Amino acid sequence: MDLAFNSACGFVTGSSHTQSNTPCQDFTTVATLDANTSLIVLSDGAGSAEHSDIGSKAICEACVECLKATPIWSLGDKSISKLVLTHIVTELTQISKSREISIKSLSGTLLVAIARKLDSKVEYKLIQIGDGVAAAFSEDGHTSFLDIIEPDNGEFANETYFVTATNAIARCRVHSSTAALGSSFILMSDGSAESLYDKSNNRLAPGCTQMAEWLVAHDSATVSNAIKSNLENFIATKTGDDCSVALMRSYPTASTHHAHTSRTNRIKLSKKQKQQRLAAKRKRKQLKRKKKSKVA
Amino acid sequence: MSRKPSYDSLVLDPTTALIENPSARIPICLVVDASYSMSSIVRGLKSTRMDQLNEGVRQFHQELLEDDTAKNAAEISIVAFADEAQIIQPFGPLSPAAADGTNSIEYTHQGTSLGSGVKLALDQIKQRKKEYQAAGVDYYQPWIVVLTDGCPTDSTHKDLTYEISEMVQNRRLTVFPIGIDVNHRGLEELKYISGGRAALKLHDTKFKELFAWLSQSVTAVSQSAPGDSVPLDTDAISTWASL
Repeated sequence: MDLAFNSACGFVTGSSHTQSNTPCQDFTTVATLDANTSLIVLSDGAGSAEHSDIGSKAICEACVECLKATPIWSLGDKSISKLVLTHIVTELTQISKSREISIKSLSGTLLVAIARKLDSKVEYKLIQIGDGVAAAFSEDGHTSFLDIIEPDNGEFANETYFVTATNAIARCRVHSSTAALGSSFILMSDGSAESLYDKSNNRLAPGCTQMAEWLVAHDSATVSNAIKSNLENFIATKTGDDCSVALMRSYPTASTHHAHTSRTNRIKLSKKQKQQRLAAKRKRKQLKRKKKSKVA
Repeated sequence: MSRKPSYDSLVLDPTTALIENPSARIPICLVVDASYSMSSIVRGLKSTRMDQLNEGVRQFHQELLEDDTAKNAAEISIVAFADEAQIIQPFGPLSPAAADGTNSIEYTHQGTSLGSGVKLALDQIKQRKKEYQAAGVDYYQPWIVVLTDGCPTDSTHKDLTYEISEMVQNRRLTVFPIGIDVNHRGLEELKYISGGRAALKLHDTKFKELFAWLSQSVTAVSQSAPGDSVPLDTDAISTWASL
């Protein structure tokens, strides 16, 4: 199956949580809905919530499940907020009942980027609750494009909003738009945003474009490992907080897409398949020669 | 020989690829009684209350500067009041000079206009918050630490009760009202600017313990992430104060 998007993600535990033996409260995942539609999702568990490591994972999984089950492209922004949050809260309620813990102990933020390839462009939606950053961007040397949802803090640095808040649907921000093929999408928790988002100027750090470039020539697993490694070595070292990043990129043109997927497929070909491919190639050459000689 | 992982070459250059955002700030305003009564000699120490207070403030700066996170987060302003209020140290990044006692507070006049001091502190905080917002700098809930050793000589503090109570209830401000060896009436007067928090009575030999507790509390807040609850170590308050 030729995919329209490549995506990758990673999360690491912050030094303050490592010291206190607290599990990582960030979680992020990627999903492919069909050949032309992919999504990335990220949740940062509330520091004050006792089981927010379980919560952030459940929030991401419930969100993917919801978006897989319901096409959202024709829905309005408020309907999307309601649909996604109702599903997430229902899932969290079930977990809280089965584990006999409070739903608040599973609190976390939410970031989503979902995109589908149309003929010559990408239609996307960014969804946010809380202090993470979600953005769509492209930088090809000639043009630049940026759609960014900045962190939704309260007035103070240690305040934010979670999916379990009573006003979560009202607080939820949705950006719906289109972008050129080749555009990228990034989600980052507040820990990563310390290094990857310029708060004063509401801009992404150059590292976001660099990481998105990796998705052109490398497969998802390789880029996910690279994200994790860079989070550990350069980004988590600047904050005590957990750090996570999810990236998704649409292939720039049909030809680039084809080149990439064929390279990926070549790795997976069996000996027999290789022989078959070689035989077909020889046959094509023979036919070409025959045609030429006829013309001559 | 083990093969290097294929993602080894995918490395960001931290100097060009990443952003250095300013640390979130914790604005703390010390509102200090500079009336003549602060010249009282502390029993057994051969120094005045003001000397002890200045030493505590110096130690407070020093301890915060020694903490990697708090030194970039804490901003301390000092307001002194007697018959009127004045700014001894405006808000700004912590400086080693402050830890050397450059901005020492001196007792000056008669009078204890508690309200003038607290009003000037509130104005300072409002102004600093505007500056943070303009510069895109995050900040934590501001703190006002009031230290007085007598009863107010005017009623200006009573005019602030509603404003402070509303801010404290809405978690926009934290106030620590501290009476230095004050009597019952002094503690009662502090309640007007406490926002509901009980006034604390500090023995004048315990300034060191007070400022050690304050620096630990500021450090805990500076290390907190969004959603973290940072309960103050109320048990440790008993090492320097009584209700």
